[in-house]
Amino acid sequence: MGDHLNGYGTSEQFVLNEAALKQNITVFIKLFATFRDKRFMTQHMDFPVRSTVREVLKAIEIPEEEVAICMVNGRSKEIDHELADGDTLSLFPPVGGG
Amino acid sequence: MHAYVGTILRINLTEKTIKCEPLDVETAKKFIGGRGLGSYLLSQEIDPEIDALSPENKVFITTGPLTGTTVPTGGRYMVITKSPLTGTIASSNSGGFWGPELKNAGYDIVVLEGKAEKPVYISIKDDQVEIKDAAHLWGMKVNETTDTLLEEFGDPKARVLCIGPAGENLSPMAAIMNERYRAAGRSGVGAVVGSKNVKAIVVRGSGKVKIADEEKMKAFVKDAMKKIRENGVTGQGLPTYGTAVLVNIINESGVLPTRNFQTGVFADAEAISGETLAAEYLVKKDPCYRCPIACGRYTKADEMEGGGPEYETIWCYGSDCGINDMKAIIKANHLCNEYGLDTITAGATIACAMELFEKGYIKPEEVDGPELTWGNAEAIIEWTKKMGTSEGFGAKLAQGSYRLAESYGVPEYSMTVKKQELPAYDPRGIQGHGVQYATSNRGGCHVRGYLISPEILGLPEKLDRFSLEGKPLWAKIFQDLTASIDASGMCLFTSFALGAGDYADLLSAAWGVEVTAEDVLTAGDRIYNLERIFNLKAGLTKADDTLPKRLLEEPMPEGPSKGWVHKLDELLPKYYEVRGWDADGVPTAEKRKELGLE
Ligand code: SF4
Repeated sequence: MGDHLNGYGTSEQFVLNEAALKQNITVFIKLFATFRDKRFMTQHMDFPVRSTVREVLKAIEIPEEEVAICMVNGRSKEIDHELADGDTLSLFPPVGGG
Repeated sequence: MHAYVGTILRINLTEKTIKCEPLDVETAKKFIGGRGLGSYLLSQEIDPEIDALSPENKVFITTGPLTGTTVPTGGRYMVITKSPLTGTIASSNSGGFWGPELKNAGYDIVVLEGKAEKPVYISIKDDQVEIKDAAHLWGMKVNETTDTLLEEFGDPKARVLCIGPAGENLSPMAAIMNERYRAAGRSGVGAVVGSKNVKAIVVRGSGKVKIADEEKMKAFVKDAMKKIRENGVTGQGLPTYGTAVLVNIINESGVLPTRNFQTGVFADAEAISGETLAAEYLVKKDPCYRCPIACGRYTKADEMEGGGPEYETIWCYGSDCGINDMKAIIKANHLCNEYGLDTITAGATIACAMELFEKGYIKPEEVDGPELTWGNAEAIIEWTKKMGTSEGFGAKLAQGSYRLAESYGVPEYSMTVKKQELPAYDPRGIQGHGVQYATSNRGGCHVRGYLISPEILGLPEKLDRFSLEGKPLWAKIFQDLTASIDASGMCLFTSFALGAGDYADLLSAAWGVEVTAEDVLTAGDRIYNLERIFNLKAGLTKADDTLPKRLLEEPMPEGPSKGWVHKLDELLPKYYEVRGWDADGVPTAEKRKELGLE
């Protein structure tokens, strides 16, 4: 639980205690490039407390290996990163340019 | 002769002479070719202190040993000269098909020297080279120039490189264009060509580039193609969306320069994203010579259609000017191509003007055109035209943001390094990329060492973008590898999929000698130091290795990079150290000796 508070969180994360009571967290999911095909652009979704990015990927049926960039609140994170209530999760397939 | 075709074509415009000189292959190999060899020859032949627009400056249009071969993306040429924008060495790189055509005509390099009395163009048909009258072309935009020259040349397969009105007007943001939409864009190389009264170079060649080991080359090309196709960025991301796919990633990271770098978050990023471009405006892909990546776009908005826009055009005309109108950006891009303007410097200069207007430095009564207010779509279109023709207040803008802001006594509002406009990434949230900006040998630039790759895209490995740890060394390695790729004649975008060892393999097959990954990086180091030495002789100092004050002192106001400034003062001394430079940023005698640059 306290893990979230050690991260680079935004102030929204301090509603954490409330979230714990709720049992659920709400995550704002933003998909980009081909991930949008047959899915959505942005959506708020609820997950059980202590859910990680992995659970979100399962729910929206994106194979883990297809994720090239995973950002939580604009910071790069691994797939096993634990999400907090109010987090914004941005997911990208391999993209680049210059 | 292998990989090189062996001839330098030297055109003296003052004397009206055309000479063919043998290429010194040993020297060429030391600097690989392209950007490297061109920088060496420029350093040998001109005094770095001269005025960039004087007849004493020279223009080296160079190809690499892999240009015109079967290597994927082997279609690049480079323009090396002294820059009128930065006062540094300039080396602008372009794709398309012009470079391979030049080699097929039998030349590795074209040198333009002196100054023609009246406008001319150069016609090259294998060994028939002529300096021709261009009075009828002067004043023409790029498409019309191209059409007219193709007609006159009488061969639709000829390739046309030319300048637009901006180059004729000696605007330090003038580009050199080839095949209409491809640009050797940066550092004002178009103005140097314009200062010599040269409008265009048309080329058609019937030869073929030979390489040393065809069998080996086949195997290495197959391997490189496989890596490019299997890599997510080069096999999937760039082909589907082009470079514009970066808009959303960079915005999500809170480093998308917005309103002249006042912030790094643009609320309307989606409207100007690669996803929107692909869904609503894309007509077709527009690849360069032998390119499986095909990042090039061909788009249409109302009556205007053509190549682009690239990410680099979208951010500067888009978020940086507060514009959320993709159509207007496509039109501004099209106008840049027509007038021969560097889109980055052009868009970023309008953004700077908008801030100067906002802050009351530019007075409404000075402005003979649309109001320079954030988000004004008409303004970006009209002011691009006026910069292209140097008309009215447009003439002032056409000097670039540094000279503009300086004329109001506030150069700090120009988001430039060495007077060249920064590209699309706010370094406050990407610390390594910032040290790369500050030390780029041609001023503000992203294609001298693209640390966005590890710091944002996680390639070849993920680095924490805020951490300073190890970043100076990363910057050096990326800068060195980039210099070698540019010198080879391949496109930098291959580096998402290929490493130094792959480039070494391709060069070994082309040259017929063993080349290692270390050789490739050493050659890059040599090129980087050579360029640095040119700049020091041109009068630049350590003080020029800096970033705009805003990025060093004003914390990012909002978003995922909130609170950060760039920590250049911590990074720079370490960067000098890993480079083998002294505390003033001068390559030490030992370093020069090690690289054979004495
Ligand atoms: S990746 Fe893009 S810029 Fe590079 S050669 Fe291919 S089409 Fe041209």
